[in-house]
Amino acid sequence: MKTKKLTISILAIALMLSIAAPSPVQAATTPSLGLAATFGVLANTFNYNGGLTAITGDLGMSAGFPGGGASLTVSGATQTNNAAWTAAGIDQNNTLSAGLAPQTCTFTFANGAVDLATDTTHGQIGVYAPGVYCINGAASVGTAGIYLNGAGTYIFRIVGALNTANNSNIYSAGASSCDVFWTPTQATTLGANTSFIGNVIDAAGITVGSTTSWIGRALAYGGTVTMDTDTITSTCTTGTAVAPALPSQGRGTINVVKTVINDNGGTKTVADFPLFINGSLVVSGATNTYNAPGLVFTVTETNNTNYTRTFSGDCDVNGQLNLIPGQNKFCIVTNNDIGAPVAVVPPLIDLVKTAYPLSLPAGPGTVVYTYTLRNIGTVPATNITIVGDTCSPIILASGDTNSNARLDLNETWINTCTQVLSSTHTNTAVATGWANGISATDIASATVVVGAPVVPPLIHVVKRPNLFTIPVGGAVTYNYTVTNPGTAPLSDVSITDDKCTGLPNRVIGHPGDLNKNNLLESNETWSFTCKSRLYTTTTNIGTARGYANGLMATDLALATVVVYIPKLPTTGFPTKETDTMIVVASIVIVLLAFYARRKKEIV
Amino acid sequence: MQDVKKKLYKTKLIILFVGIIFSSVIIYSQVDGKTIESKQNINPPDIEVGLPVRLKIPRIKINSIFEHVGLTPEGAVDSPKGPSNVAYFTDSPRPGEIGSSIIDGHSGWKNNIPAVFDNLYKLRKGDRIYVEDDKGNTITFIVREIRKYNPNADAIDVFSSNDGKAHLNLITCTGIWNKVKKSRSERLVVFTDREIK
Repeated sequence: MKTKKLTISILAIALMLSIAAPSPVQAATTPSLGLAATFGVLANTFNYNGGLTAITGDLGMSAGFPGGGASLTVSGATQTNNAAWTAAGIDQNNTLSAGLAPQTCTFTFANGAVDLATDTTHGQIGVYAPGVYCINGAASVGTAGIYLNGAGTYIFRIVGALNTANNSNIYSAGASSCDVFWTPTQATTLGANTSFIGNVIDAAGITVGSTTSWIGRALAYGGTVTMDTDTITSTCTTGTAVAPALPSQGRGTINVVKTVINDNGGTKTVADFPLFINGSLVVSGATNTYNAPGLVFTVTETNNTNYTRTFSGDCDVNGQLNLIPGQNKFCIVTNNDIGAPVAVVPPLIDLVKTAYPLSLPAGPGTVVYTYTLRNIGTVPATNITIVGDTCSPIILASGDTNSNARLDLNETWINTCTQVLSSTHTNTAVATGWANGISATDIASATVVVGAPVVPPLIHVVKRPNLFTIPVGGAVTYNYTVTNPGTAPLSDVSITDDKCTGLPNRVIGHPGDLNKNNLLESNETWSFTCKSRLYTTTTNIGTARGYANGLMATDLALATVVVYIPKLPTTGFPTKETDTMIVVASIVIVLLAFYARRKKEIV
Repeated sequence: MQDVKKKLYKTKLIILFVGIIFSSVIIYSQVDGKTIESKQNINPPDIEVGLPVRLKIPRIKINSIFEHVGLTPEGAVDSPKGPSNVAYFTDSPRPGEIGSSIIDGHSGWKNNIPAVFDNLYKLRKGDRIYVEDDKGNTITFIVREIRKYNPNADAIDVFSSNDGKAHLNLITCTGIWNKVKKSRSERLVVFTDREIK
C-alpha cells in the first residue's frame, strides 16, 4: 500500500514536471527526395547561357534545349517530358509538402527580410547549427557568406524569395550538401561567382548567376531554371570545396598593410602614418587576432594633409570591415602625396611562402617556413622588410649576392623561419621594399594543418603591369600568373582585381589546364590579363583563390602604376615666321628711311 | 607736276605699308586657335592597330616617317632628332587606339632648313590626317580644334580623353623665340578625331 502511494506520487510529480518543462525541440531530419534525388536540375523550362554549364546528375525538363551557343554537359540522363521527369516532379512536391513543411521551426526570425550573413538574432553571426530556420519574408546571403556548422539537417523555410549576393559563399563545416534544404515560396536568384550548398526546392524558378559552383540540386519542377557557365553537383559532399580554414574557432585576423606613394616629391614613409584598429595601434603588415564574429572593425590612421588616403582590400572605403571565424582579412591603406605626379618608376616585388611540412597529422611539431622574395619590377628595391605574424626571427638565408642589402633585379632572396605549431595555423607574411619614394608590398600566406592528415592548399599569384608609368588616361595591361606551390590540386580557382574588370573570376577551361580537369596542379601555370585605363596613380590588388581538402588558399598581389601629366615638348629653332617678321620690319624701316630721305631732298 | 608725283608716291607707300600690316594680321590670325568643335560622327572601331610608321597630311604636304620618343629628363615629351621626322610619344596610345595619341614635330630649324610642322598652323577644322602603321593599316583622323598653350600649362586635356574614342593630337612650338630658354613662347596643338567610315 505504501509502495503504491509512493509510485503514484512519483508519477504525479513526473507528470507535473513534464507539463511544466518546455517542449523539447525536435531535431530536423533529412527527408527522402525520392526519384528527384538523382537530378541535378529538374525544371519545366531549362535555359543555359554563356559558356560551359556542367551538371553532375540527371537533367529533367519539359521541352528540348533552347540552344544559344553555350555548351552543356550532363553526367546523368536527360529526361524530357517523360514519365521519369513527371515522377521526379511528383516526388519533389511530396518532399516539400510531406517531408519538409511539417517539421517544427527551430528558430523563427522576426517578420520581414533577413540577411542570413549579418543576422545576430539566431545566434553567432554568420554561423548556423543544424535546424529548421523559418523566415517570414525574403532571405538573402550577403557577401560575408554563412557557415553551416556541423553535421545534421538544415532547413531554411522562406516565405518569400531567396537571393545570394555576388561573390558570396555558403561554407560547409561538416554539413553534407544532401542534408541542406532551401524552400522559398518565391523565386531563387543566386549571385555570380558564388559557392552554394544544398537542395533548393522552388517551383517559382531558380536563376543562377555566372560562374557559380553549386553542390546540391536545383529542383524547380513547375518553374524555370536558368544557368550561366555554372557547375551543379548533385552528389552528396561533406566538407565541400569551399570551407575556409578553421571555421569554428571563433577567431579571425586582420592585417593592415600600408603603402606609400611619393610621386610628387613627398618624403613620408610607412612610419609617418601610425595605424589603428578600433583605436588600438597596430603595425603595418602584422597580423592581429580578434574574437569573431565581433562588432564592425574600423581602421584609421594619423592623417597627413599633404597626402591622400585610400582604403582597399577587405576594407570598405571608410576603412571598415567585418570578421567572421576563420577569416584572415587584409586592409590596404594607400597614401599618395598630393600634386601633379611626375614619372617616377615604382618598384614591384613578389613574395612566395611555403611551409614544410604542410601538415602535422600526428600533432604538434616543428614547421619551417620559406619566404622567397624576388624583384619583378624594373628598378632595384631598398629597405626590404618582411613582417611575419607569429614566426620570428625571419632570417635571410641567401640571395643578396653582392651584399648591398638591395633587392636587385637579378636576385632571389630566400628567407626562413622555424616555428613549433600546436594547432592548425595560417601564417601570413608581408614584404615591403622601396624605390624612388614609392613602396612595393606583397602578401603571402601558408596554412599548416595540425592533428589531421589533411594537406592544405597553397596558391600564388604574380601580378605585373606592362608599364610602370603612364601618362594620364593611358592604358595599362596587368598580367597575372597563377600557380600552385603546394601539392594538393586546387579546385574552383578564381582571379579578381579590385580595380580592373574583365578577369574571369572563377576559372573554367583555362588553356593552361594541361589535363583539362579544371584543377590547378603544381605543374600548371594559368595566366590572365586585364587592361585598364588609368587617370591617377593606382595601387590595385589582384586576388587568387583556390580550394583543396575543404580548405581555402588565398594570395594577394599588389602593383602600383604611376600616372603622370607630361610636360609639353620643346621643338624647333627660330622659324621662318620669325625671320619673316624681321624681314618685314626691315623692309618697313628701309621704306620709312627712304621716304624720310626723299622728303628731306624734296624740301 | 612734282606735287602730283609726290602725292602718288606717298599714296603707294601708304598702300604698301597697310598691305604689309594687313597680310601679317591675316597670317597670324590663322594660328589663333579659337576653333569650334567638329561635328564629325566619331566612334572608333575596336581593331588592333600597330606602331605608327608614316604620317601624311596632304593639306600641308607632309609625308614623314615616325621616330618613337619617350620623356626627357625634365618630364617633357621628347622631340624628333631632326627637322624632317615626326615623333610618336610611346607612352601614349597608338594612333587609332582609344585615348589621346601624341605626335610632335619641329617647327623651324637651323639655317632656315624647312621643318615638318612649319605649316601646322595652316590646318583647319575638317582637314584629314593619315597615319600608316606597321600592320598595314591607314588610319584617318579629322581636325577638330586648334589651340595654343603656355609651355608650362597643365595640359591634361592634350594627353587625356575620357570619351572612349581615339584621338591624335599634334604638337609643335609657336610664338616668340626665347633665346635664353631656347624655346618658343607657346605650343600649338592640333586636336583630331579618328574618322569612321
